[in-house]
Amino acid sequence: MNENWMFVGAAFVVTWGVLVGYFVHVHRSLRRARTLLDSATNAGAQ
Amino acid sequence: MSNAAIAPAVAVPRAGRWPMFGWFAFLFLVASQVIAVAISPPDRDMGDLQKIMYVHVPAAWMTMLAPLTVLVFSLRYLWKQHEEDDLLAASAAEVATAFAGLTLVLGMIWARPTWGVWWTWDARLTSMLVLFLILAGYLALRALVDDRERRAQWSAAVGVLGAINVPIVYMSVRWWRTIHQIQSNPSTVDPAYVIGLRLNAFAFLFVMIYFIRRRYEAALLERAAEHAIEAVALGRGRDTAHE
Repeated sequence: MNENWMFVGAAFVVTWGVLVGYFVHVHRSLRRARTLLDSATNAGAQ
Repeated sequence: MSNAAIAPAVAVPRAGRWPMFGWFAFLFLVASQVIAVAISPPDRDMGDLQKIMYVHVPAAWMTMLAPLTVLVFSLRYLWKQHEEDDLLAASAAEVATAFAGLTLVLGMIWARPTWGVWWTWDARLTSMLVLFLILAGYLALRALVDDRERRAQWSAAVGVLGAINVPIVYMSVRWWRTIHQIQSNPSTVDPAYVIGLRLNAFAFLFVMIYFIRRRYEAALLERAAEHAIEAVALGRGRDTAHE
């Protein structure tokens, strides 16, 4: 593998790192918000 | 207290078919990248480095497209004062920041072997950095201001400012001829590279739409939860006052 492929590989690794990282961030936000809404709604119903 | 008393301030969204759209975007991206890398021959001058184009260029396009979404919904918020527009603009701004950061890093990875430096104060690079900083400032502003109305108004103003920078980023390679190449189009790119670039541009677009929609969904849920908590606290306060 030549040096060019090292840079190409790095570019694709960074891309997937950012996309997967942001996907995890969004899904954590969704889960946290749903839990918060459920607990707040339950507290209000009591 | 009844449930009717804690009706959310914003509509509570449903995921609907968006998770399925996410899978479609993911598989489309994987297929696009495999096809682009597999079918494109090495470039005469850059060799295999050309393959960085399939991630750098679509990421740059999304960095210019997402702030336009921020612009549309910021202006709509300033006009109609609907909180949903502010939340959608903020969701698009967060996604735009991620793409702007990615574009800058990918540009540096491409610059090192082609220009011999990781960074240079070229007009395109500098204007893209300014856009990234405006977007990061937008997010910092939202984290610092507690008052919802003021936060929405100030961020709408910063969102408009960020979007004004987009045509400057786009035209920078023509207005200030420095080291970054000018925009390409299908007539200036070899057909062997056009299909891979188009596929990846659509793949990034689908991923961006998915990210903005799901982030907006999370923002709406967060807002509905905040409203429910406030309503519960208000109800308890009222109950205590009656005792």
